[in-house]
Amino acid sequence: MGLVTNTIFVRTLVTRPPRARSGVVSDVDLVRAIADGQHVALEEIYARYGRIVFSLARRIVVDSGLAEDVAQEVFLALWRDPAKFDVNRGAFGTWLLSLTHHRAVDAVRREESVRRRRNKVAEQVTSGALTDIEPAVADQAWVTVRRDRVKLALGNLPEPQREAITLAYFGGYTQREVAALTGTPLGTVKTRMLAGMRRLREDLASGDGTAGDLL
Amino acid sequence: MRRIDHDDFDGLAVGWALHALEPAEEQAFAEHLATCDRCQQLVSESEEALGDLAYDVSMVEPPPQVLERIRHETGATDAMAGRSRRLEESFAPVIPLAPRASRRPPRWAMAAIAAAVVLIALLGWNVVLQNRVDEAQRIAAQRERVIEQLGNSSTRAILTDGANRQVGYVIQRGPSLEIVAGGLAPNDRARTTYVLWAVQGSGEPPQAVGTFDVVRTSMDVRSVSGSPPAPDTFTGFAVTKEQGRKVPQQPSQVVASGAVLS
Repeated sequence: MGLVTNTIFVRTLVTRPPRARSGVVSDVDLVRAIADGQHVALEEIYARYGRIVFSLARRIVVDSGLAEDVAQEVFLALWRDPAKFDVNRGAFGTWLLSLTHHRAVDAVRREESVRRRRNKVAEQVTSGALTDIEPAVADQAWVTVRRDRVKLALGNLPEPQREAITLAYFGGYTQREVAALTGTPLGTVKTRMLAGMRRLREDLASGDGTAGDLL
Repeated sequence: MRRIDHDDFDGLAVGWALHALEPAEEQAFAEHLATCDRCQQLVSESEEALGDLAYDVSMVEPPPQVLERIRHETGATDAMAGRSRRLEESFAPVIPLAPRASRRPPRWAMAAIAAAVVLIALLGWNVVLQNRVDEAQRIAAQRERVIEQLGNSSTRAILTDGANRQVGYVIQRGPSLEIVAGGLAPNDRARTTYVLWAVQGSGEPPQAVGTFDVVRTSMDVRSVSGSPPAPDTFTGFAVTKEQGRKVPQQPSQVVASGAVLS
């Protein structure tokens, strides 16, 4: 990207508010600008995704300090190697949240306090209290709409499938650990996760549960 | 040891997307994944669904030090940080509410006052930038009208887009709801419409309130057709942009939303 183009791009960012889904400055364009070393593009991506990245990390690691580290890792990873995002393999938001999930689970597995945290998560999962570790601070209707649709899709799953997926996704457990936790054969756990994921995808793709990315 | 068939790989693909494989399995599956279109597709679809699952969490703003640490690590200079602050100001010019007083007005009134202040700031800023007398006169007249309307209304919600930037307000004037739009893109009034939805926090589906159009990018007050739902039965509003001129059964693209101000 040349200097003139850069100047125009930055001016566009500074003077024109991007609006959700209006395509003023897309996520993909911002990632390209990050590859070009533009800090302002990283800050814009942070403005769009910082909250969900931090919230997801916090939900998984159950510790605000650790969640801060995870969020920082995620955006630094994007800054240092934006080419890891392949535009042909899906939406940027999906990729960033997948990265967040992986980093958060890795952080959980590294932590000494993992046993205490996991016991807490397992209790919540098995008791059905899957939603909030702490009271919501800044829930908004936009997110509520999306979350309600996801809840609906999750609610459509048979309990064993929902349990297997949520223990792995929010609890950070491996399939083998889920098998041990639930007293279920490993093969059954894999089958439940596969069937549950298929059902989840179908429900979300059919409009029963899904919403799009931020931009 | 039995031979692995592709059903086994399907289970591993979902485990891969969930980051739930044991290290040895993960390493083995990575080699297979690199050469298997079917598994790549399954992983991609699973990650997409899990991306939605990520929204089933309580939303919490990250502390400011997270961004500061990122700036530090990426070598963003102070000048850069300053530019970012200006960028944020350009995107979301927010005037803080007045400090709490012993006999302060109700919250909705404070929000309405804040909305009026923001509108004045926005419109004034536009005038300076455009430096056009006729435009200034038009905006001044528009400002008077907006303030007059706000004076007889209560603010029900502050609307922000998916990037958490203010794009308008939901106000109630008499029995009707109106939108003070300031950041929503004008819609094609022949083919599309904006729809205002009332969102209930109990898991109930959103309830359509009515439709409205946006005709200009600057601040404007737009009436919402239809009747507002009963107060205290919902927790927020969402705005969608729909193809066609009718309210669909379900919202499609949510372009803005805001929690109900108590």
